[in-house]
Amino acid sequence: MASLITTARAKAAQIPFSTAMTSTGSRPSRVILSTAANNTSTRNLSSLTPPRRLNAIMSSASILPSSSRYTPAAAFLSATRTSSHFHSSAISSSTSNNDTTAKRPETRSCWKCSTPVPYLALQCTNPECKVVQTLAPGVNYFETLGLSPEPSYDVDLKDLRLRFFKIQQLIHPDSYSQNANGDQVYAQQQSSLTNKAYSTLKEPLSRANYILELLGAPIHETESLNEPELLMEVMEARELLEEAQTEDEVQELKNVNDTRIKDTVEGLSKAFKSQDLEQAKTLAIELQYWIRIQNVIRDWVAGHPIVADHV
Amino acid sequence: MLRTTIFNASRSLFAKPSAAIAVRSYHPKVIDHYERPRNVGSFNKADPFVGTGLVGAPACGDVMKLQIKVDEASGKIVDVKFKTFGCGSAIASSSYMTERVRGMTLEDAGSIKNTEIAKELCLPPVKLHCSMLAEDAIKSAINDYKRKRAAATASA
Repeated sequence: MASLITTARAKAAQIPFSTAMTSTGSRPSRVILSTAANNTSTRNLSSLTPPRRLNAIMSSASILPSSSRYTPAAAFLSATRTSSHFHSSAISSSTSNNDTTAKRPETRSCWKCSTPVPYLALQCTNPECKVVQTLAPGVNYFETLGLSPEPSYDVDLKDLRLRFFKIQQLIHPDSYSQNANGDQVYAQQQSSLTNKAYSTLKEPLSRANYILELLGAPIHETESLNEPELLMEVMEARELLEEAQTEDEVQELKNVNDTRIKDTVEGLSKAFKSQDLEQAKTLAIELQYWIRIQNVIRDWVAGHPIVADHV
Repeated sequence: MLRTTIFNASRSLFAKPSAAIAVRSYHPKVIDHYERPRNVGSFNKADPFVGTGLVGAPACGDVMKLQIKVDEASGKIVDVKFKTFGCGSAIASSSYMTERVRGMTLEDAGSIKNTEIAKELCLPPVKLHCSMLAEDAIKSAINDYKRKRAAATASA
């Protein structure tokens, strides 16, 4: 399957924004060194890419399905990339997630002009058409933001934000308010999905929970926690917070809690890298408690009792 | 007037408006327990006749502590305290549980099912896990008490 090129609207010709993609159809066991240099394009976000460049990229992608060869186009793209780094995902590639993506066709037909477009394309690649495409089924949030479909806990937040903006720039519903091509509703859906993907992946807690879900180890609502040490620490922290009278006291508790969050996030990164899902789950649960405390601290106002802290 | 203001304030607290869909709010019974929680507080954990149950809900990050004081001669729960940091349903479930188990034998208290709590408080399906937490809490408190007593008898 192909990989992805996005372009900023105005600078399309000069500085294509590459979202390095691994080909989803490639050998699952391959460790993905997911930099743009190693990959040709997947999802074509850019009706704005000059057609000739697009053709070049598309054809190189189809010639080199596993996209491990160096191509001038890819080199150019990688050269324009900033410091963002992609982690080779340590998550086992034999997960259910990958199995589904492996069976995915490389192209879909544009709903309007029937041109075959890359499966993940946001817009029709036919320069005469360019309409926003319908949501592609079975796509995870990493792919939605143009990342490798294999979940990785370590994300470059700056890079993620940039990807998010670039995509929104292309398909923001405001640009389709006239609905001239009948694709306004698809722009809304794509935009909404992109929002969801971004907000899920940018927060360490929701990202952890999402990856656990993708890997088939979600935290169930009905689960009960019987870890006395953790619960005692949580209870104590909550009681201290409840008794705190001054901003300074709360600041101190915040410092302690920030350290907890930092340590837990680091632990999660290690756990996901070493494919230790049990440990990742334990830490995600811990993080849930620390984030809740963080929220209570954020909303703390002197003299106001803490009421139910979520609905 | 004041009453209306408070009512409105509490409504805005509990109602979570979601886009175009109907507003979902807590049942009055939940709000009552939430606004006037029964038996909030703590006993000394080290007291040999106090059993402490500390449980958490990993999915939402709630934590609930429920403590029972037991009269050894009759084997009945003579006093109960709880402390819950969580949503309104979790607070209400534990508050209701403390009222429910007071005066009960350990066996009766341990056999209370979460469905009973959920029914009493009219919890919606998404909040059933809050009542499960309360069930886990009382069971955990009873076990803690039994463990303590067993240890005390063994060393005596």
